[in-house]
Amino acid sequence: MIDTKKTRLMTKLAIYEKHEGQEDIEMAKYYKSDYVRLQVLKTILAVTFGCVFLLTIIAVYNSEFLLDEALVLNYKKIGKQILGIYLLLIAVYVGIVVVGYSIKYTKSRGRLSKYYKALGKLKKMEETEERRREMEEDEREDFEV
Amino acid sequence: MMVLFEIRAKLTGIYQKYDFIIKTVLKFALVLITLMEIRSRFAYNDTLSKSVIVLVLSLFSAFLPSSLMVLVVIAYMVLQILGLSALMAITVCLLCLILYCFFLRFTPKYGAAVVAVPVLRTLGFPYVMPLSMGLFGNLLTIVPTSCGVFAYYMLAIIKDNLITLQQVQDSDNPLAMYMDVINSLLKNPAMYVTMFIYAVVILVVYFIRRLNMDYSFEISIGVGTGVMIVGHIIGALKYDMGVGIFSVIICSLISSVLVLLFMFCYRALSYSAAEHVQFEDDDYYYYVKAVPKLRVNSPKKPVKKVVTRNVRRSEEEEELEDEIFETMDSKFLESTTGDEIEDNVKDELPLAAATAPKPVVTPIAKPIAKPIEKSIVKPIAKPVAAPAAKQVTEDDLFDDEDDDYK
Repeated sequence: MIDTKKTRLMTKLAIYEKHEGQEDIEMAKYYKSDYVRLQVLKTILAVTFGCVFLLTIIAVYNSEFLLDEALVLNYKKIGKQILGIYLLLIAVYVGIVVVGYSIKYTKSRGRLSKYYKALGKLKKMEETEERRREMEEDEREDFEV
Repeated sequence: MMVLFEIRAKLTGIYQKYDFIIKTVLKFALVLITLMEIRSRFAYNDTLSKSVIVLVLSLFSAFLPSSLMVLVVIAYMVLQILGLSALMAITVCLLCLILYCFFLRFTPKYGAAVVAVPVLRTLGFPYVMPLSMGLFGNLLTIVPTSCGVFAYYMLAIIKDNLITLQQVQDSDNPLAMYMDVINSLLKNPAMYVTMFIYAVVILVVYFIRRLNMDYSFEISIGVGTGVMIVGHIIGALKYDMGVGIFSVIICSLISSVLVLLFMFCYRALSYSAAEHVQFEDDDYYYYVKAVPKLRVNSPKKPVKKVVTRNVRRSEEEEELEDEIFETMDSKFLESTTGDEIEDNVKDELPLAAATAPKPVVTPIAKPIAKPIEKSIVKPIAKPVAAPAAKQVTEDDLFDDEDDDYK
């Protein structure tokens, strides 16, 4: 006989594992601070690459001007401006990432705790079933004796 | 209305049954349309322009996650443009990488939105995206939607500059066309206005649909459509938006109807049967409004079972069969919800089939001789208006009891 309650629980667990579960379980390998730091590192790397690509496009766009004025340009001032914009971008992105990924991690822990509770429930169901089966077998043996 | 609910139940059933196949086919169609659209604009690579290659790439992308799907589309576009101009191909590649590094890496789940915006715009239903993103997504969807708008305008500008690009190919100054394209792209008020309107629509739809009031989903679609039309009218008064006001109104209305249909298939609520309950625990006093989801089970046709048997049946067997069928019928009548009926059907029918004797009718006029047929018409389940199966969300993922309410 199919236990519908158990089947429903197992289906929900399987759906969770298939979707958010993978990411949540992967996230649970880290402490919150470690996870957020990892994301900050990734973001700094991505923003750095983004800035390099952006600078390339701007440099090509202004290439004629740069070639003409190559000898008279104030490279120190330009460098400072670029560095300032870069640091500002990094600060903004790091702020957003710290807040965003902290919330994401907290939500993920909530879902995981529900998942583990459901797993415990499932385990209890199976233990009860096992016990019932053993009792039935004992009764049958007693009857045969 | 009942007919609509029945169609919805059928569609939901089909979707639940063939979930993977439907999603794969939709992704395949999306990539196929996108690649064909790119091919129609920039067919500069003979190998990549072959229909077989387009089909194979679409099929391959259909099995990839949406972020990788976008990567395939970008790679195809860059390689096609490479046939025309290496500088332009590198520029497009760099712009896409910038979009990814600054924005898209934070919303990998919504990668398909970047592709869907230009495709829907080409198909004539561009406003489906902001409305559906606000309705089914979250505020982060503003990022991929805006990137989609950028991608659309980038393709449109490159296409518009094709003649110049081809002329410049042989000239001495390839930088000129590069600067033209960048200028047209960055100094394009229509693009910024469209991005702004889409972002406002997503915000408006998102916040209204979360309000604690009846028909919040429907109202959010209506208000979102209004904001879209007004935004475009104001934009068109000041800038050249590239679309007529009349077409904006028509497209917005069609898009809102499409989104309403999606929403009807996704979630239908019965506000007339809403429950208002109040209770308290040690820490809080709760005011709860529970709105039941609507679902009508599709009517199942009565199954006519024809059983032939040439063995005479005893009176005892007949009595036993009557008893079993009476028990089953009373259980069906006691069932109130669709889920229970389904459970009963699944659980009881095989058991009944195993235990019940095959129905045979004893002939009265001619007691022996030929095998006799009897038809038994047995209804399996009647259509019942029942609360719907719940969409699984993170909050109620493992709760058994609250499957029927918003």
